Formats: sequence, structure tokens, C-alpha cells
Amino acid sequence: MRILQLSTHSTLVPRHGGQFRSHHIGRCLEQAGFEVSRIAVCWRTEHDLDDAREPIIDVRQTNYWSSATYRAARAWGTYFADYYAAFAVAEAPHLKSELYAKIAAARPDAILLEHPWTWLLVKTLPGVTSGVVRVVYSSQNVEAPLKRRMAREAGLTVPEDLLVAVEEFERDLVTSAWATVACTPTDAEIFLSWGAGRLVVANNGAIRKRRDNLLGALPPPLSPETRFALFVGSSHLPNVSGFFKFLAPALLRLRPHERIVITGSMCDSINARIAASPLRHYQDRRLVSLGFVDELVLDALLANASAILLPIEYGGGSNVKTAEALAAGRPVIATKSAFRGFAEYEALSSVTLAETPEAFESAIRDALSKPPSDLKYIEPPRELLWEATLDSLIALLRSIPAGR
Amino acid sequence: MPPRILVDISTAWRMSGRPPVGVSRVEREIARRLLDDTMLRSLPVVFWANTVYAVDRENAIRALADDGRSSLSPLLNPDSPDCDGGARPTTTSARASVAHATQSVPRPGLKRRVRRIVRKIASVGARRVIRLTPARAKAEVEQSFLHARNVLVALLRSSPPQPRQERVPRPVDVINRSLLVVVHPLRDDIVWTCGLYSHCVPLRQLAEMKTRTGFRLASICYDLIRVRRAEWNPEGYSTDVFVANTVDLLDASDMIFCISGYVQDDLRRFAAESGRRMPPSKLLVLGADLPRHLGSSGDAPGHQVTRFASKRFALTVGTIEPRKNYSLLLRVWDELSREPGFDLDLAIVGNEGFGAAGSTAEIWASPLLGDRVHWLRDVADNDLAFLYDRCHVFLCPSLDEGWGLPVAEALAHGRPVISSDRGGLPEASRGQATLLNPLDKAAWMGAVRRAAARPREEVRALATPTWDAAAAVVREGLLTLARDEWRGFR
Repeated sequence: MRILQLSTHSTLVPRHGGQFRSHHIGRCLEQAGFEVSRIAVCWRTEHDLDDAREPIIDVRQTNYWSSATYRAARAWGTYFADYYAAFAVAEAPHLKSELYAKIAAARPDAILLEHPWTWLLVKTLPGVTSGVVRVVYSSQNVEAPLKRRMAREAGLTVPEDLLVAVEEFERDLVTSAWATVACTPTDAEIFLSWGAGRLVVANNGAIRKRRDNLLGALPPPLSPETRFALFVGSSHLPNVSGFFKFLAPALLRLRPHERIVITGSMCDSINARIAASPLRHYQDRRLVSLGFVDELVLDALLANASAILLPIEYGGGSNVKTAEALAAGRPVIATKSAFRGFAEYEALSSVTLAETPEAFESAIRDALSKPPSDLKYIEPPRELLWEATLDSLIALLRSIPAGR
Repeated sequence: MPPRILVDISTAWRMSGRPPVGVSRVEREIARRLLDDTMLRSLPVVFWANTVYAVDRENAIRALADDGRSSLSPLLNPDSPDCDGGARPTTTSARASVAHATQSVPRPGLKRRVRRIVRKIASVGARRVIRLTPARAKAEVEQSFLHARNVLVALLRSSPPQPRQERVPRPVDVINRSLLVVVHPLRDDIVWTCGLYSHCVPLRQLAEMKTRTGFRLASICYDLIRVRRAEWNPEGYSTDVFVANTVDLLDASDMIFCISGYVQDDLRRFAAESGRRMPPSKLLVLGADLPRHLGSSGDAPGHQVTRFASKRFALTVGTIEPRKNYSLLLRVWDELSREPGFDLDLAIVGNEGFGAAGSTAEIWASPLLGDRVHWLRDVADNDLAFLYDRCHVFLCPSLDEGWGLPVAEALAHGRPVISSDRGGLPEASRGQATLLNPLDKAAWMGAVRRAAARPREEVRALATPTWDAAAAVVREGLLTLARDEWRGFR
């Protein structure tokens, strides 16, 4: 069976949670015997591959971004970039025809929409309207409430009618799609309340990876004398706000050999805000901001961290980094919100839930004061691995009747 | 929990983009197997600027597999894969030949065939003239013909032989951008190193690091030739450098694998002479099974060796340096090629080694070069396997060897071997080779003459010593070393 993964980001070389989810969905579908093709409708970045396995419809190549429509939305545009990208393609005949040609070439039996946004572009395709090509909405969260929260956190005044339009857009997809995939039972309840027909829950997962060969392997400026707690995150707004709300206060009282290490694309935003705050005067030798790091560095950090921090106050779906943290076998200090979709792991002895900055500080100091214990490699439970969390999605796609 | 093994790949890392020589082959074959062993906690590391860096496994495997043909576009490096058998091509023609080689196997050019026919006619004519010459003048006439031939060869050669251009290596600063994670070894770690101690592995720093942390180090001793035979060391290299390296090896190592009993005995003697205690040592028989799938062309042999498919040739393999004693083979060929009916060519496979200038000059000076003697450099493993399979006889006239990997490889390919009786070569030949004094030219002439006169014969191949077995010996040694009682050795 041919599955087309249509996303608003590339998936071959994942860098953030959404990309990781899509990447592993594609990988697991291929492992399960599906013929997977991919198209990304997005702003091409320097990190994207020029690879025939995933052609990119580069939304940069339109005049839409200088149009009056978009200029009016520029203030909040960053937070709604995916949403507007679909409109940009819809209004650019050359991109639209390029996309349709690539969809036609893929001859999909089903289109897996990674995010709702490209629904605008595929809903009128004859194969979709006739029901020959099934559309499966592979959600990563419920978009409208998350967008609303992010806008509020960022202090933006987003027109209510835009937020309503986003919700209506997603509702239309949920009711029109052949099936919907939710990340968490909570998301599933919302989709069901909207009238979803077929629905499965397929949580985020982790990969099995041994890192116990990296003990004592550290990227400078970290050294064996330092102990650190690690926070990994993309520039997704909840990561940045979570850092300032829950972690920044703890920096004040770290001992000389203790550090909080942050890594991922969120570092740029965090560094910029630190530069304009009193934190800049005392963050040295307390905070280590490594920016985006390669896989080996990340593995070394995960192997040597005294604790992995998940200071996530809000968000939709579930967090890939929570699954990864649990699979890494290190102590985890997290908000309850970060455990969305992973509630069954909250009671583990290695997990400390903290809901206030004070609780975070206390848990971090406690973790850093313990002698660095050797990382005992613990085989992550199969239920945490992508191969298990995506079982329901694979079963769903297998249930699509064969033939046209 | 198994011990962590820090697998040093510094030599492969630095030599990335070049065909493997003996030491880098050992490092590559053992390291790949240690890294693939899921029962070990192994981590590839590189020593760089007195620091131990972790290497991403994928990069490590790439560096270990990089035989120089996979990473470089042939057009970036037009000279390197060519054979020096004929006139050195100009850059343009080399480019053309490389480009052509990607499409089909080149056939000998018309010019070359004409030259061969002319040479044959001249040779037959000269012999006839010598035969008709009165006995008292025969020697002088023969000398005159030889001189005339050398003059003609020199004149006809399109350009004088130029010093070989270096391959374009992968820029070290580029690959080193991936060295981002510093490894701070732990007390229970085992460090495995078998690279080029004089250039790539800082034994002294490792010894200091070891004193601080208490990890254990296992190494290889390949030979003590540079310690024992100063006359073969390159100009400007004091033997003391190699003595110091070997002392450091003894001081730093908790276990030393020796590649032959000959080396083990010599190292033991050296330890006694140096007032050092000999660490526990184990014999490590190196593998003789050449990997076949490493060239950019996969299984298919490259263009520089396919022309040997229809030749009768003797093969010799080894770095070009005085110790390898190629001058003996050149002299043997010089004389035997004058004998009617001697139809065996000589293929020399090897890149220039330490102090190669003299040896290289000897090869270039041979009037037979390009006709009966062929020099092939940058030969990938699958090409080497092709040559082993097709050679008539394998020759190893070396004046000293720690082991004799090419001899073992030739025997593994079922080829008859005539070998020097020095150093570890008798061990490597396992009773299967004709052993000769490498200084006895007459004996070598006789042996080669007899081998050439015989039809191609298959020697019953002995059980091939494999790299899997070698890696298993290393693995067992490392696990033994990990046991606590070994900590008390020092």
C-alpha cells in the first residue's frame, strides 16, 4: 500500500519534536511494509536535504509573503507560519501545480497529513473528494488551543476570528478525514467531541539506544568535575517560557561545580532574553548554553546528566523529549504537563514531578548533590519505543481496503 | 556490565582518504570488529592535540572504511590511481583515462602495442647479432646493446619521471570539526590502540593520563626493526626516536599483543636491555582475508589491475623502502628477462614509505619498467585480491619483517610463495613457502626461473588466518585485562 506523508516540515533529518514524530512514523511504516513517499510544504532551510525521497515545495517562492493579506498578519505570523504556508501555496499556481504533480506521481492509496494545514491543498483533489484516496489526519496536538496559549504567552493580540478559523479548519479536517490519529487520550477526546469517525491514539515514542559507552565523555566546557542537569528543547515557545519560569530561578543557588545545560534551537531565544535580563550578570559558570548540537554530543550529555529537565508548562499532544528522557534511563525532573501522554510513568522512582520554580530548584539541587552514579543501561520498555507507540496507526492503515 | 573499550582509530582518522597500509589495515580490521561487537561497550576515539575525543560511530566506520577511493572524486586527483608501468600521463590524458575507466576497462593503446612489437624485434635482432659475434667481443657487444637500449628508453620516455604528487587527503581541519566530545577516561576503561605510535598515538600522554585515572592500555608491537636496524631508517630520523617510542610502549601498556613469536622474543630482549619489565604479551596472528567490497567500484577490480588478467606475472606487495629489498627483484628481473623463454612479468604493489627515495629511484631507473616490471600504487583491497588470485608466484625478498602479512595473504589465496627467511617471515609462511636468503641473488634467480618455467600451480591453501579470529584474540585479551587481578601488574 502506498502512503504519502504530507507535512509542513521536512522529515528526513529531524531536528525538533514534530519532525521526529513524522520521521519515525515514516520509518516505522516502511518497516511495516508500506510504500512511503514524502512531500514537505515548507520554508526550505539550510538543514533540509535536497533528496528525491522527500521533495520540498518551498513556500518561500511566492509573493504571498509581501501581500497585503500577510502584511496584516505579520505581527503574529511566526506563530501561524504553517497555517499561512498552506494559503501561500494555494495562491501560487506554480507551487500548487508542482505539489499536485508530485502527489499524482506518488499515486497514494492514503495521504497522511502531518499537521492539519495542508488539508486546504488536498481537500479538493478528485481522488480525495471521491474517497478513492483516504486522508488520515496525523495530528501532533490540537492546534487552536495551543496557538491561543502561545499567542497569549508571547503577549500578542491575535484576532479572535483567526483563532476561530484555525479551529474550524481543524474541525473540518477531523470530520472529513477517513481517520484521525491523536497523540494522547486527551487530544482524542477533543477530536471525538468534534465528530471524528475513526480515531486511534498513537503516542510519541523513543528509540532504543545505548549510551553507557559515553560516560565521562563531555563536550567542553563541561568536565568530569562538573555536575549538570540537562534541558533539551527546540525553539517552540513552551520550551523557552518553561526555562525562564522553572529553571532560571534555580541558577541563583547552584554550587560552583553545578551547571544547568541547555541545548537545542531554543538556546538562541533564551540567550537573547538573558542578554537583556539581570541573568546575564551571574549566568556564567551556572548556565551552559550549547545551542543545537549533533547526535554524539547530545548522547554524551544524556549519558552524563545528573538529571533531565522537562519544565514544560503547557502544550498539546505529548512530548517526544519526555519519551526520550524516560528511555535514556536518567533521573527526570518534570512538570505534570510534560508527562501528557505518559502518565503511567509518573510514579517511577526516577521521575520527580515539580510544579513550581521552588520545587524544580529543590529537585535539581537534590539530583546534583548525589554522587554521579554510573549509568546502568536499562532496556527501555517496548511500550516506550516508536515501534510500539505507532502500532495503532499501522493497524489503522492496514485496515484500509486494498484496491481502488 | 562489560568493560568500556576505548577503541583508538587515530591512524585511520588521520590517514582517511588513503589506501590502508599494514598498520592502518590492522587498526581498521580490529577496530571495526570491536565496534560491531554488541557485547562490548566500545567507543571509537581519536587522539588529537593531547586530548582523547569521542567519535560518532558512523563517522568512525566511515573513516575505517575509507580506502581513498570512496571519498575523493577521481577528477580531483587524476594522478593517484594510475599505474606507473608506462610513460606518466599528462594531467589531461590522466583525466581522460580516469574518465574512460569509469565506463569500461581500457585496452592497451595502439602506440603501446607498436612499441612492444618494436621492442621484441630489436630484442630478437640483438640476440642474433650477439650469437654471431666472436666470443672475444661478445661481452662488449652485449654491454653496448644494453647501453643503447637504456639511452633509447630515456629518449623515448615522454617526460622524465617526476616525484609523485601527494594524494589530496581529506582536510584534517574539516574532519576534525566533528571532534566535539572530550573523553575523560575512567578507572575501569580499557584503551585499545594499534596505530602508528610514532605519529598518531601519543603514548607518553596516554601513560600520564593512565597514571591519573588508572585505566588499562593494550597495544600491539609490530616489530623493532627501526630500533635494531638504524641503516634502514630515513635520513634525519634518529634511532633514538624509535627506541623512545618502544620504551613508552612498554611503560604505557598493560598488555602487548605481538604479531609473531619473533617480535615477542625481540621485544622481551629489548625490555631487558632497557631495564623495563615486559608486560604480559599475547601472540596475535593477523588476518589474511582481504575484504572485497571496499572499493568504490564494489566487487569489480579497478582499471589499473584488470590489464594483469591476461599476463603471467609474479607479485610482490609492500611499502617501497630499502628494507623491502626490491632492488634484488629488479636485478633478478634484469638478468632473467634476457633469458629466452622467460615470460614472467613483475608487479610491485606499494606506496612510498619512509625514506623511499632511493628505492623509488631504483624502480624508476629500471629499463624494464613499463615493459616487464610494473609498479602499482594506491591499490584498493579488492584490486589487491584480484592480483593475488591471478599472480603466478608471490615473492617477498624483505630483509626483515615482524610478520609478513602479504605472505600470509598470498598463501590464503593459494599461491606459491618464495620468501626471505628473515624475521617473522618463516612464521608467516607456515612451512608453505620456499625460504631463501634475501641476499643470495643466485638462489632467487634460480627459484624465480624455476617458478616461471612451471605451469601455473595451485598451492593447497592453508586455513586462512582471519581478521575475525584476530579480533577475537584481542577481545579475549581485553576482557582478561578488565579483570581486577590485572590491575596489580604494575
